[in-house]
Amino acid sequence: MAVISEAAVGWPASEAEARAAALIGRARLPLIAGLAADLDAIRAAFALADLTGAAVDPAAGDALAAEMRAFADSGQMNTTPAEARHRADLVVVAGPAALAHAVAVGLFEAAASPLYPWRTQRKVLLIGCGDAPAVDFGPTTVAVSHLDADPAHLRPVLAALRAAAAGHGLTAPTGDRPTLAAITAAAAEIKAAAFGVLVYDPAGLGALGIELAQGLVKDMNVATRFTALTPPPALNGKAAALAGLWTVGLPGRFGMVRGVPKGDDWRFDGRRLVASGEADAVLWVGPLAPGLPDWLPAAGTVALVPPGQAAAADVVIEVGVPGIDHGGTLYEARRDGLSYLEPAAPSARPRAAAVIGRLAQIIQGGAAC
Amino acid sequence: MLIRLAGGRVIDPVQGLDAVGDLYVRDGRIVAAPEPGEAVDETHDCRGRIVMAGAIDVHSHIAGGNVTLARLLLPELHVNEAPSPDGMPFAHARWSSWEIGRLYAEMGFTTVIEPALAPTHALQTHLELADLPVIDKGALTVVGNDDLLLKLLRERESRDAVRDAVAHALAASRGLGLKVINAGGAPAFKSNLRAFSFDDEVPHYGLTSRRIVTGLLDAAAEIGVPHPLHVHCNNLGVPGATETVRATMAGAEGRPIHLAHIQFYAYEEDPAGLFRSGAETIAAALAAHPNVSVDVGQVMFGPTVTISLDIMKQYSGHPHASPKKWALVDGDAEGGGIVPIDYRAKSWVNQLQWAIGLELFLLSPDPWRCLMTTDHPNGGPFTSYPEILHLLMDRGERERWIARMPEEAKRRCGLAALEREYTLDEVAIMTRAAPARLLGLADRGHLKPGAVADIAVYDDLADRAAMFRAARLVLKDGRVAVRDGRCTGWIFGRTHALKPGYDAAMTREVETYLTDRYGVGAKAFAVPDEAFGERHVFKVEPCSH
Repeated sequence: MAVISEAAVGWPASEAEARAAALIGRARLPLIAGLAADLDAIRAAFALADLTGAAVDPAAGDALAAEMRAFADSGQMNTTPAEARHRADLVVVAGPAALAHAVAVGLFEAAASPLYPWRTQRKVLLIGCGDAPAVDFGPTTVAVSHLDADPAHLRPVLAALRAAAAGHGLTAPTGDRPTLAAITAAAAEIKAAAFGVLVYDPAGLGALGIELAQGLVKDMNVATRFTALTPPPALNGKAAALAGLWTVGLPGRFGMVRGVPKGDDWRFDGRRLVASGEADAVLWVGPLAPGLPDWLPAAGTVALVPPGQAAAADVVIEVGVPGIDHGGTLYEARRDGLSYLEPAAPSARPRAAAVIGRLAQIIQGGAAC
Repeated sequence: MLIRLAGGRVIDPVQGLDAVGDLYVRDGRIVAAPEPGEAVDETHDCRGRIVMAGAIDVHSHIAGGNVTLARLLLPELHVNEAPSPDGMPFAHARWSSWEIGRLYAEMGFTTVIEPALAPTHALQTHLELADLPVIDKGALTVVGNDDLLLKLLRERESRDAVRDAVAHALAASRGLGLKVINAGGAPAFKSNLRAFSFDDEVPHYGLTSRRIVTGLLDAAAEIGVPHPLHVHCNNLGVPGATETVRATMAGAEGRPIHLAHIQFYAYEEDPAGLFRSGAETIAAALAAHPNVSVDVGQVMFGPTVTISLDIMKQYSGHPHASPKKWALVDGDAEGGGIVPIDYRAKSWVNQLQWAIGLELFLLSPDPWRCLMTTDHPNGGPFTSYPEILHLLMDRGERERWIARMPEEAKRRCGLAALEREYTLDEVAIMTRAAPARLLGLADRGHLKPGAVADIAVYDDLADRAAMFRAARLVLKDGRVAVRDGRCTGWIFGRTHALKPGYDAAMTREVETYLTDRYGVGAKAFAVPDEAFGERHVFKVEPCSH
């Protein structure tokens, strides 16, 4: 272990940071994973990736890969929770995860004064959510209907709905769940909406399922208005995707290859890089994460974790949690955008961005080698 | 430190200056010639070169949620192959914020305005702008389709209430000016209208586009927003939109108004229902309304993407998407639409759009009121500005392009008969002095002592495209930012913003509205300095009263 010279880098380097910088700086292919952190830390991670030629993979990398690929392949029609909440006269919910998101962002909450008093009373159509989910659909919902379906297999149901709504005669039964009659009735309900919103979970549907859901939405807009709402990727994954797009043109999962950002969902999949041995050091950035993923080996891993979190890693550095220990910019699902959160309980714990910045300084200075 | 730009042909229309001489810079500002004997620390040889103020772009979509959504939709538009130079991370990452700043600077641009700052996504837009190196930035706050404002107008609240709501939006989003996009069009589309004109009424709102625009004109004047209300008119791209433009110009009733990307409205309808040039109509209307300024929104050939908060127009345009994919967000207020497009040189329609843009430049009665834009990236990328300048300054070059036009396009416009060639002085007005004046940025766009030392030096080449593509030297705030057409390293400009006041009662009204609409209050939409860490991003500009 080289001694870190204070004079060389201009600040007192802790031993943990020195060891971390040595691991990352010496790696053939470092992986910067997680990015479950505030925007400053994400930006710092990108800069470190540029410096070290690292691969970058957010914690929500798999979900992002499916959703972003579907978006880049065919585009989408989407809306915001607030628009869906106030304007939609029909909310179609595909599966339990979508229902949980709808509830979490207040889709069924009544406003103190309705923004659109002319809106006809709302209906809710639940697909594969069970017969009696424990959800308060609010005072403005007049009817809740159910389309019985296996929540693990929603794609065939969405395909049948799309076909029925488009007027393609479904002559063959689609199976026991749901019945053809139920599909036809649900399609009629969808077509009758003035401003319908389909809520679905991209992670559950996968890229092809997302295209199906979006195909249904787009078809409806020929005659009426219809759009979609989705939960954002977990652990601030949306912020990582957005910052990736404006920094390197790529959403979250990418690699810096000889100074050139490259997007390849397979090549830069962190799990694969570790399993194959291609990545020989990992910086886990996880102040917002509940723990490290099980595929991360302890050897060669530097983990930035929230206070008190146990982590099996060569180097563990506790950092503050954005929004609690220090302020930070995070993606807020309810208002559907980046928001700055002030610290709830300010502390002197280091920010992940500052730690990553210091690692870059050490590596750039060559002191760690 | 005293810097001398020695022996260049200095062109500054604000001073009526076009002469060979020296220009001095000290501590980031232009200064008068020093006393004899005073030591010059750094001299740049500008002999045989053109010295102008740094260029300014009033309308270029360089940041914000829709720009980033377009990046997501079109990875094929920004395949990366070139590594970035040492010390300039992401400088060559295609279509990144970093590349945008570098490319603008290398053309001699030093201030660029993002024209669609959605208040609900102001923080993201400003974070993106803060990652744009070298140049100064600003953004225009989009109002006019948000429910709070529409409610105040619908309920005929006082002009003071409307003014305060607009001032609050401007201050909270840290905008430099006000923009309205197809006023009323977004809620109309959400109610399933597919067309919307200046005097049409938004369903359920009892408001016309005219009423919204005139309400905003009043508010802008009372707040003292230096930049005229920046208007994206109704009926973009529709044959016959010239009438919409004329109605909007007349509707301003003499108040300052800026009509954006006017080329996309300079379309008249022929008896067969096809479009033909309406440039003469627009130019005549512009001459008749000295209160009106425009930017052109020139179309250039090649693949690009249209990015707009005009969701009605973007939806209607999606069948023309090339490649065949598009995105549309029914957002809070507007949202946005992303539709890729390929302006093809073999298409008479695209050729006619190209020709109409040039006609507008060449028929313009006043370079102070007709600015160069491509509505980046909607008509083409901002990197095509050098080609546009060449076409405007060189009739021979124009004729070479016109020779390739299909007859169908030629007979639908009058471009071939136009002989005008822009002078360097007119270019300096159109790309420097006029945009600075229109934005109310008094410290730039000219080379008077006291001005910010944003300066571009070009080789005086007959090939004007080559000349303006790569500035020989660019100073940003008096620091060398570009040498021999290449960015020399990362420095950062500021984001200019207004900070208008408003009645404290509006703070409470906005808080109530936001909480009711989103379940979260104004803090969730704020743009605090703390979000930018150690970076000092903003510079507050004064309102005009």
